[in-house]
Amino acid sequence: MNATSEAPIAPAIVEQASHWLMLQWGGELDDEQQRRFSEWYAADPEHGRAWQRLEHLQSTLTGVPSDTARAVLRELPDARRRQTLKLLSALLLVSGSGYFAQAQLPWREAMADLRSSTGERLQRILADGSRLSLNSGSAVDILFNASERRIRLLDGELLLDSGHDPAQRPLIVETSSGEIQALGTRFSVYQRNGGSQVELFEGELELRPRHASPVRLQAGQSRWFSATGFGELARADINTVAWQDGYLIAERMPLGQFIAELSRHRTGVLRCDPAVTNLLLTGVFPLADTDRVLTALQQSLPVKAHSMTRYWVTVGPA
Amino acid sequence: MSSVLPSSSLHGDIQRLYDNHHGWLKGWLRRRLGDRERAADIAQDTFLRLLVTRRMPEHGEGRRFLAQIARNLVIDQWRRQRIEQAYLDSLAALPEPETPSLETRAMVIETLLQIDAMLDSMPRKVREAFLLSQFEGLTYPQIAVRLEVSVSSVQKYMLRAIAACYQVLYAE
Repeated sequence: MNATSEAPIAPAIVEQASHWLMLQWGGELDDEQQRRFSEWYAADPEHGRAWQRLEHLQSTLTGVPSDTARAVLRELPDARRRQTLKLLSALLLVSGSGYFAQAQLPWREAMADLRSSTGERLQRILADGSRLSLNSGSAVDILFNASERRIRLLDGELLLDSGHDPAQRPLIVETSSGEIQALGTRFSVYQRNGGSQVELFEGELELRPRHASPVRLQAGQSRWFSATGFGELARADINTVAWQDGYLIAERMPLGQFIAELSRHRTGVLRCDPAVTNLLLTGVFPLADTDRVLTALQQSLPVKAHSMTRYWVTVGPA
Repeated sequence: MSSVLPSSSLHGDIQRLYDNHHGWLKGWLRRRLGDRERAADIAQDTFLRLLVTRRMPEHGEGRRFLAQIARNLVIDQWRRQRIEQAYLDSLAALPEPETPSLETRAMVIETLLQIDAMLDSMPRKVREAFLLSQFEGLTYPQIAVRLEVSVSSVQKYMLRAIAACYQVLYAE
């Protein structure tokens, strides 16, 4: 951009130019279109200026070899984009939390047990300002002493937004698999498949299995680990902690997995018939009313919820 | 939440903001990032950004305002790292190591960041259509089939995509 081209251009003119560009991208203009484009271009210097900008846009797009662009940009799928947005909103919440934390009652017990029942989600501000959220059916021990801040995850899933400790005591989450040492972070831990699934959204973590060498995790990464080893390194998925806001977010999620997630929030047995377990589902579902979610499912997928009683529901083919 | 000020009063205001909140901001970032040096850098960049944009927070909104700028800087960095890493990975995947010069790499990364920002501002279907058209070389009828929409919908998507790109390059 040079100085003369910096003045704003009327939106209507940009729109006309965009329309021409869109047509050109769609294929060669025919003679009649070509003639009309030339007329339009010559009719007003502002038209020429708008077109120049779009040509600059085009050169930006072609400034990267398309196989590179494909490799890099394709490799950053929707989920990651959404994650950036979610990270934005997460950080926004966090940046506000400094104000709101003071308004809430600090959770001053030096040592306490905290448990959420099925369908219940809890949030507590701990004595050091850390914000702890528990998903449905979870339990923790909170063991703060002079030398460390330790949270023992006995069952379920937690999300931790670590606060600043004036005494600089290390913050450690302990699971059956081992320990996770937090270094100024926001992360979640979920006990599953005999190990601990860790999703890290900010900061850095050290994962220490009971019987294997420790490994570090960087912001945006996720990893499952057991007492003896690690799963593949993967991208952290912020959707997995939507429960904190009372939602279950599915993005092309297999129905079987969705039902398994949903059943964590519902008393009784909720099963998925193997015949429909691979149907894909996308949507944002409120956890507060799982009956409503089941109704919504039946409207968007060819499935039916068969209930023996409210406490025994199977989702099968319609 | 903010207002643009003439530069005469600006420096005094920034100085005051700096004196009152720089330490806090650095601490806040250090807790978020777990990295003292990076926190100090970003805190510094935050005030630099204030000087450049000449926007100042309303009274009493200082910390919230600074935190928001810092947050954007962190996310910019994060996006940049992601893009750089993905780009380096794609270079490593080349059949023979024909490594571009550092300057070329820097330019490509800059451009990729711009394109990524464009993609970020597009709704999903629009983005999909745009990618297929620009980087996969599909025609509009082919895209229409792929996305299961009409050709005129594809044209509408492309117009929205162009508008999104224009915004990124020429936001006014």
